[in-house]
Amino acid sequence: MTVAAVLLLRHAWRLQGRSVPLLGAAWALLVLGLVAAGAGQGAWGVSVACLSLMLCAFACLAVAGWTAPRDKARPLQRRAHMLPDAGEPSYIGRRLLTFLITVPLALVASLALALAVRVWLSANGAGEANANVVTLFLTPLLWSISVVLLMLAKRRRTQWLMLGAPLLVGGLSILWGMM
Amino acid sequence: MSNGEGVRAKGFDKATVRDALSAHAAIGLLAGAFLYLVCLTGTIVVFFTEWQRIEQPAAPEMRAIAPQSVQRAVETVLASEKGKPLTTHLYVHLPTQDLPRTTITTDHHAVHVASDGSIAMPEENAWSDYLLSLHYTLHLPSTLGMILVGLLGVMIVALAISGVIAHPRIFRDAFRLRARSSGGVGLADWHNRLGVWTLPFTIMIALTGAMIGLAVVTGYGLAGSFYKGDLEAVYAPIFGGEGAADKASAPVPDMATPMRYMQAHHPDVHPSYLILHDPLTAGQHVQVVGLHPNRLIFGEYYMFDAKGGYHGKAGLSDGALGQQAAASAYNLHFGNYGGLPVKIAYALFGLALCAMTATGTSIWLGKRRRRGLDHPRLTRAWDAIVWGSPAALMLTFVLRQWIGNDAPLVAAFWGLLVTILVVSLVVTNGHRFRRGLQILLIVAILAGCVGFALML
Repeated sequence: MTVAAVLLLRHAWRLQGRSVPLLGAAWALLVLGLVAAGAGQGAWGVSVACLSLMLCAFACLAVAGWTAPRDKARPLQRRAHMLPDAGEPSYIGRRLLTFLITVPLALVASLALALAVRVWLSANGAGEANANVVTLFLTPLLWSISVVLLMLAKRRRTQWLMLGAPLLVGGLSILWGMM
Repeated sequence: MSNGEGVRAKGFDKATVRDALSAHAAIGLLAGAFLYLVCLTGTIVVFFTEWQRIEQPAAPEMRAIAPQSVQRAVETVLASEKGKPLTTHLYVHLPTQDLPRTTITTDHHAVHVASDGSIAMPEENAWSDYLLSLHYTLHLPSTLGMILVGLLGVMIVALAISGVIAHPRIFRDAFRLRARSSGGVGLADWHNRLGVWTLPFTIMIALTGAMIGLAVVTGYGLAGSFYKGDLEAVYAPIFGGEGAADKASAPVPDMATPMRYMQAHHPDVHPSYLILHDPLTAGQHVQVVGLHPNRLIFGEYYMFDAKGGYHGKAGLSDGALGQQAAASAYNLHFGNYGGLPVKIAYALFGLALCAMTATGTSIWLGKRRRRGLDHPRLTRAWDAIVWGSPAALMLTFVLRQWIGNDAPLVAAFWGLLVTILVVSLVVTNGHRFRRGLQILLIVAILAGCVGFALML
């Protein structure tokens, strides 16, 4: 079912206009396939269904790559603004601070927030195993999201606020959890 | 991920899309080389058990082993360690479909066991272990290395999120592949298409990897906040706790009865490991790791005392959802839950991940070159990483075949990689340098194949 969904998506996305019914059917088929796999074989079934749909998409990509014509497309121009151009200042200090904020400090903030969630889960009867495992998964997930959000923040003050809020919530929750 | 022209934000404003591309590039460049190394080793290590079999083809193989043979082997191994400090654990790997071998590992050594329970030969899989260690810790001290690799997992998830934000048409263009277009368009299309279609795999691999890598940090956070610093207490509700230690001496425990119990009471569960805790002490006890078919969990722990009395299971197969999720993280990450077909799929997607990491930096370098900001040294250094690291890995495999299990693999790998990087800074012809590395990789692969054929 998930394989059919990928093929239908491929067809829908190749059309000139946007076909909402076709796209809807493709996405519905995909969700249905995953639900059916989950109902039949649990998480194992969902994983195998995901692998099947990705393999099908790879096969479609292989065909697209094989049949792609040799042409001279307009070269890429979108700038990433990662390094300064010639003559521009390097802003080393600013970059280092961004690194400190997005890597070690964001880890601490994410851990604090994950621990706060653990306190909340425990207080609501989630069970010790569930609460601990959620914390173990949540820390890296929150850190990943924080890295992106912090790097999208336009002002340094916003970044500090984004770090401070989870630290405050986490700290207070841990204190409350210890009491 | 990097995209072509005509980006029109839908859902995100233009500034956010531009900033997301900036963030995507920054993360990719900051972590690029290590990310590539972890993705590359992860792709190869999917076949960990197969590499072990390739490394030591003469080790005895069997479909099953009798409980009394295991008992005999354990007694022999423990007797051989008399005079040494007592091993804290003794592991018996039982024959599985992936690795049909019986192997006993203690703190001091590891040996293969023949089907009659006699000790056949020492286990020699230094290359497989070195490869796994490179993937797990980049050969750094274990805690530091795992945290660093966990951080790389976090960066992959961040790259996936920022990549999707930076490319508003990424799903609409999911099958648009201008593979042979010039001006960096072909490279960007490969990067983006592989990226979008491996998105579930990438996020799952990276998140489970980050969870495993950062478990030390999170574990200490949990222990410090809720368990008075006791790290074991954090994991006890998940995987079951260790029994109370009693260091008084005791005879060799009964390892055969738990196996017989499993055959009689759980015929559909395949035991993959027997773990003996605190051997030859009064506190010793046995755990059987049982494989459950069509499940993501690495197994269920069945607990037995030293006389073979059954004491229940940990609950990884049917306990709290958190227990099942934690026990599934390892198999989900390493792809060993569906035999060879799943492993091949994982290797294919792993290669795609390597290609995305490699093309990401190349796209950025290409864009700068087209704007007149050429970085020939950086380009050659990146080629050194992309082509030099697989070549160095394969050369260490050849070294393992020539010198044997004691070959200095870690030193050889890093020595080769640093040498290739230094050469990349000295040479002037980037095209010839890259071609030379590609030829070196092919030669190393062929030499590895010839070496394996000679070992058979």
